[in-house]
Amino acid sequence: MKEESTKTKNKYLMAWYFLTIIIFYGVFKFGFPVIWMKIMGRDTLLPTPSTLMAWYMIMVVVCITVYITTSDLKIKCFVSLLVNNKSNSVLQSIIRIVILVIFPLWIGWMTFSSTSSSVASPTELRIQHPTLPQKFESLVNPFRHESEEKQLIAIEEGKILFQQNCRPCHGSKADGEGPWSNTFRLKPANFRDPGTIGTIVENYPVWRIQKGGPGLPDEATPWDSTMPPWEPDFTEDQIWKIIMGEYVTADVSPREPEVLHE
Amino acid sequence: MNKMQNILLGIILFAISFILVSNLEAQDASNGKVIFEKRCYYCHGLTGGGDGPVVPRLDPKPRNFQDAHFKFRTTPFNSLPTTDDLVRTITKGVPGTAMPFFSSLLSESEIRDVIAHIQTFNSRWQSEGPGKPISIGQEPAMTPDTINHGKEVFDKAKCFVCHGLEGRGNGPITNTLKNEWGFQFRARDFTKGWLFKRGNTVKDIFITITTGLNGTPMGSFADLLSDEERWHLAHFVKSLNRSQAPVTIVGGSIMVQSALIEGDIPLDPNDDNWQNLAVSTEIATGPQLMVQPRQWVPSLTSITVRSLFNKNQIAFLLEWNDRTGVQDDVFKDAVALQFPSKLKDGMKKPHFAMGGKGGSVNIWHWKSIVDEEAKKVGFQNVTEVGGGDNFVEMNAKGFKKRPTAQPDESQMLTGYAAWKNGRWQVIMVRDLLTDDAKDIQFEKNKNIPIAFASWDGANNDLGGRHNVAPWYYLLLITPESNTKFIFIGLAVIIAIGAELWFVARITRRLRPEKGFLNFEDKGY
Ligand code: HEC
Ligand code: HEC
Ligand code: HEC
Repeated sequence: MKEESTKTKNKYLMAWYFLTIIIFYGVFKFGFPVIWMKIMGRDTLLPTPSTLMAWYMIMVVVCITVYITTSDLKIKCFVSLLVNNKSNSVLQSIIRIVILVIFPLWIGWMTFSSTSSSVASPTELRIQHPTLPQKFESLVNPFRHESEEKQLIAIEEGKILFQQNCRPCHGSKADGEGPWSNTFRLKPANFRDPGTIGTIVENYPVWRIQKGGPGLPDEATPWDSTMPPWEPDFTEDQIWKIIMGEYVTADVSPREPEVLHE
Repeated sequence: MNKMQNILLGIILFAISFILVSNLEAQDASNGKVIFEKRCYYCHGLTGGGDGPVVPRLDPKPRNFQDAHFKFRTTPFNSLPTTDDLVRTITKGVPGTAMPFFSSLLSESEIRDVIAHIQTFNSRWQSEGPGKPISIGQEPAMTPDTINHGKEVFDKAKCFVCHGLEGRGNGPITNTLKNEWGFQFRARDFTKGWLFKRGNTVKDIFITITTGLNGTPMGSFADLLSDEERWHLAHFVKSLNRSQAPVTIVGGSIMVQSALIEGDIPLDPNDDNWQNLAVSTEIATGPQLMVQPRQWVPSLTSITVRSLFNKNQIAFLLEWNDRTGVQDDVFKDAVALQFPSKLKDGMKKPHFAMGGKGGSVNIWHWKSIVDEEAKKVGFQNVTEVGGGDNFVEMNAKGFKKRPTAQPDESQMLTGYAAWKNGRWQVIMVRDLLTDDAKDIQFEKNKNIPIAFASWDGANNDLGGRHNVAPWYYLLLITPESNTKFIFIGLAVIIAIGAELWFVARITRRLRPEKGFLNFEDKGY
């Protein structure tokens, strides 16, 4: 029993904790821009947006904190680094002092930056896919039951409507790189990115297209979204055509809805 | 005999490879056709006539490949571009236009296939083929001298006729010449380097001046100016590129800073307080596409904003490049600032497009007046101090209803406005605090949402047809006071106290557990 517990005892747990946070910060802040640049084949760095940065860091801190609180022993190991002990190694003592000194300094810095009129941009957390309102859940694409040929015609019409209306922001390639994509602060969705319309069911976009930015709930910061509400412009059939055209233009397909009860 | 065999073999091999190669070429164009009809036809038209279904909503219009007048060539004026020129254009797109970049979607060989297809639309590709690339030579180093010489060449070659005296693209041509679709010819605004179509390096500019842009009034200056003159001219043009570009394009802070001054707010944009004390921020504006009437072909692209405040008042200097100062009775140049009527806690704001269910907004609107005298000349240079009918405070709650002007007794907005050399400068001034419940009240050191809109009369902007920039943040910055250091000291002391208490506590808790802290003994 005692053998068991000593095996998993790590006197530097707290040091590892902070080191992990710093390493992840470094990867998100400096590594990702380079990686994305390479993957997307661009010649400029693609910095991680500050909102995303905040989410990533929250995730990391939560994960490792959960890890540490999984057992009493780990918690004890975690705090043990702060205890002055005769058997402490030199390294242990140094880390201990560093942590003890940095903490009050950090608090001082936090108060300094919150009381000084900081011109740092506020972080804006935003949820990209809030829950679909009930009203839209049961919608079915009327063209899915049509003949192949009719579907193809609908898709072609949809592609053209997409190019006419959505291209200025979402781009001719549906990659969120339209001519005005860099104009508005909140970037238009990139439909080629598997994280947008590829992860949602087909009727989700119906809601987003009809109601636009103003129709979003507060957690999705509707006030910043330039996504227009297209309800006054298009019939529901036209919106279905646009959606089919949009998926084809973006070379992705919608997520299949889960069938809960037959 | 052996010789004959060899020759025969050679002929056969040649024939096979010839067939293979010609087949490959045919394959090229047909694969290109597939790609063209999936990615390009919306704009360039199925038969390359530049008449795809999106065209009514575009300015500039897509290239008509049947005409085969190409802008971005390294070959002389009126000749056809090389395949590499076309590869470059299709790979990187044309900034500031609808022409997308295809580097992320098509491989270079696919792009070459599409080009093979484009070359089937006009017989000149077969009859004369691409022109011979110009020789570019060695780029001289850029110095103040070469820039000054470039300025002399700029005057000598009369570039200002189209590009304007200060290079904002406001030469008289914008008022007199219309292209075949009835749009203004918009000579490039040299202050906005990020909108150069070919690119904004000195070499790109040199090539443009040397080869000209076919299909536009911008001709070639290869015969009129020597190589050296053209390089120096390119240096001068490059020197006009402003170092400041919109924060949404080049990154940077989204804060509009307002600086504290002693004394009165200056109503002259050239005042030292405006030019040196105030921090300038470049805000990109885009077309209003939220609701009808939408603006699909905007002509304004950004607003430069500066702000100052004193004990009682706050002021904004808004500057934006507009090629014409011409006004008529209906279509007028205008600009507006928007604030929430009431500040909310947290991130919450009214919707940027004139508010809505998230709350109402306070709009400060300035509209130019028609000056009969200026109208005759075709240019306008209005100066107004002390407000007047054209500075209006309004309120709106959602775009379903028109914004309403506040009653006369609530109108507090005053200012100054003038158009010169392709640029509007408008100053708006209001008291920091007012008695009106529908007005924004300016608190110091607090993030106040601010949004922007602009109208270009010459582009038929009116009402909902305009340019917008969604929410940014305004911050009235007061100098730091010393009392804050007391707070910081206090915070640090409390932190140390809490820390010591915590360490003492865990020491007491862990000590009694014999051996727990003895990592050494266990071989650690
Ligand atoms: C003025 C620019 C603009 C135009 C025009 C525009 N959009 Fe958007 N759209 C946005 C922005 C910005 C977002 C991201 C913010 C949001 O989700 O509201 C977005 C988001 C979306 C989303 C949500 C994607 C996701 O995965 O969350 C869909 C679907 C969408 N747009 C479809 C369309 C369609 C279809 C059209 C044309 C009929 C269109 N948009 C036209 C700006 C625009
Ligand atoms: C969304 C509309 C749109 C799409 C899609 C589009 N283009 Fe264009 N293209 C334009 C516009 C607009 C211009 C004109 C730019 C200008 O005149 O400044 C243009 C210009 C061009 C030019 C002329 C360059 C020059 O030197 O004059 C070529 C070549 C071209 N496009 C090829 C393509 C190819 C190939 C595709 C498909 C892979 C394509 N375009 C897709 C809008 C589009
Ligand atoms: C007759 C009118 C006219 C004259 C004279 C003229 N230009 Fe232009 N220029 C234009 C127009 C119009 C455009 C924009 C064409 C377009 O957008 O397709 C342009 C575009 C440009 C561009 C931008 C190319 C790009 O990549 O975006 C440069 C650089 C330029 N001109 C330099 C000059 C210089 C230098 C001179 C004097 C030697 C000059 N121009 C004289 C009309 C003119």
